Amino acid sequence: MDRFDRRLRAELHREFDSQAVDTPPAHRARYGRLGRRQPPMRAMALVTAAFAIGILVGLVYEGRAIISVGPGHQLGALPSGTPPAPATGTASSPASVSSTSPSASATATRRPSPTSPPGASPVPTAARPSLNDDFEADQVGANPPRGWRAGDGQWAGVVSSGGGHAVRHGTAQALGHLVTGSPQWTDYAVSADVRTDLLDLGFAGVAGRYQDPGDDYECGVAVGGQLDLWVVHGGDREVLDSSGISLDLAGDHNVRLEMRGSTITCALDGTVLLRATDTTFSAGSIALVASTGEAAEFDNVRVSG
Amino acid sequence: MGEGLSGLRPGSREDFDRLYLDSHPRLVRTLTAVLGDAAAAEDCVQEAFVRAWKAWPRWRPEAPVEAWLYRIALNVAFSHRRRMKLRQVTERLLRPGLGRADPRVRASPLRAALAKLPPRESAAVMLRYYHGYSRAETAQILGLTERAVSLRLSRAQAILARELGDEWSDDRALHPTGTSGVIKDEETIG
Repeated sequence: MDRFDRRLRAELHREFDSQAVDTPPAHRARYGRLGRRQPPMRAMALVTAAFAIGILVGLVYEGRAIISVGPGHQLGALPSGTPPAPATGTASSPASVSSTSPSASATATRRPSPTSPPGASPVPTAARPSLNDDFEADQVGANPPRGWRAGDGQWAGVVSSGGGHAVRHGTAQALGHLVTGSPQWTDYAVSADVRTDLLDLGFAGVAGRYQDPGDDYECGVAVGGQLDLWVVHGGDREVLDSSGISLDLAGDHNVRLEMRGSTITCALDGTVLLRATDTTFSAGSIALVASTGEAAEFDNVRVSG
Repeated sequence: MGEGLSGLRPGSREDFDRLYLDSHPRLVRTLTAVLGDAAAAEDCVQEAFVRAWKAWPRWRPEAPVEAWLYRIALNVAFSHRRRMKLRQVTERLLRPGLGRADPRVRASPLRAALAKLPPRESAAVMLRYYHGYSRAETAQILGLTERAVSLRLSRAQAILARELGDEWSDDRALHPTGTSGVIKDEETIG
């Protein structure tokens, strides 16, 4: 350690060890001071939801039904910010149900059925951003799954999870990117179901316009229940936008990164929570990303142009 | 980690309270350096503990508990600082002169210098030099690569040396010749 480091260390201790800190009673740590402000916020959310439901019901009664509720039917209208489903038959996939339901933000998404959706293909095409992969066609233990490569770090490969297959990053493994797609893809959305209740310390999510492990856009859930949108450039990670709220990490969540020109958005369970403008990258492939030591499972990867 | 923090059980209220009482002051001091504001630091630490309590049943004993807390608290602090910056910009546009620091209130030179660092740089400085975390641990808490942590620490050193040069003028080591490169004495800390 050189003299500067020693001096800095000593001065930091001198400065901050003497800072008087009043530690409130422990129950505040569990319930917080913000508790007083939460009831009005909840009430506002309920009023807003009631208005939204009223408008929808009104539209249905006027014969302009936008939701059909019969068996096997899907939501007939996509929420704003959701791109049209790709022409490969994803409308019947479980992931599309979860990603089109704005109310899903508070609940866990469902595991996929073991059968692949019609037209699902794990092999990306260079011409148009399009990909569906639920890893059901891969054998358990396949590492990497067919059509994917490890950009960096280690991955546990395909595992059996929740009655189907998923791809896993393990606790003993370094920060990793599992990559597929074309470097020529420009404007598209990439999404995946991420099992977030396994997170200990770091984050897990999806990456787009991926150049290499140190250069891409990433949308992911971080420990503490925060959704973050990053640009990673030269290995340096900068937050473009952050949810700043505590999300419920229980179960699986659909994380979706969309890039249209310089507009980058990050959505959780079909609701766009983060938005930024950035021009660092204009094209690139996609990746699943998990930070060092994080156990995370990914499923139902979708790319649509 | 504090001396008495062994055998913590996920979901246990008593253990969470022990963790809270042990970690709260250190978290507040760290966030004070990052935010340059002790009151804001206390609010962010409070919010971080509320979040941590929600996630406590899912915490796994093999994960380092204080690093887990730092990660949550720093995420809250970074978000807070970003919101404050946006608010300041808006306020200055709407009411020039409002929201500026009171010139009669003078922070210590070290705190003033830390306030000039970007938030992740000041966080890296605190984790590495105040808490003694290794570069790998600092990288994990901040969600950066080790190389990125080295670069941030190097940049932070250069800024601190420039800002504190007059205050610490008795120390020639405060005037490094270069502003880039990586820390050479990695093995001596943490």
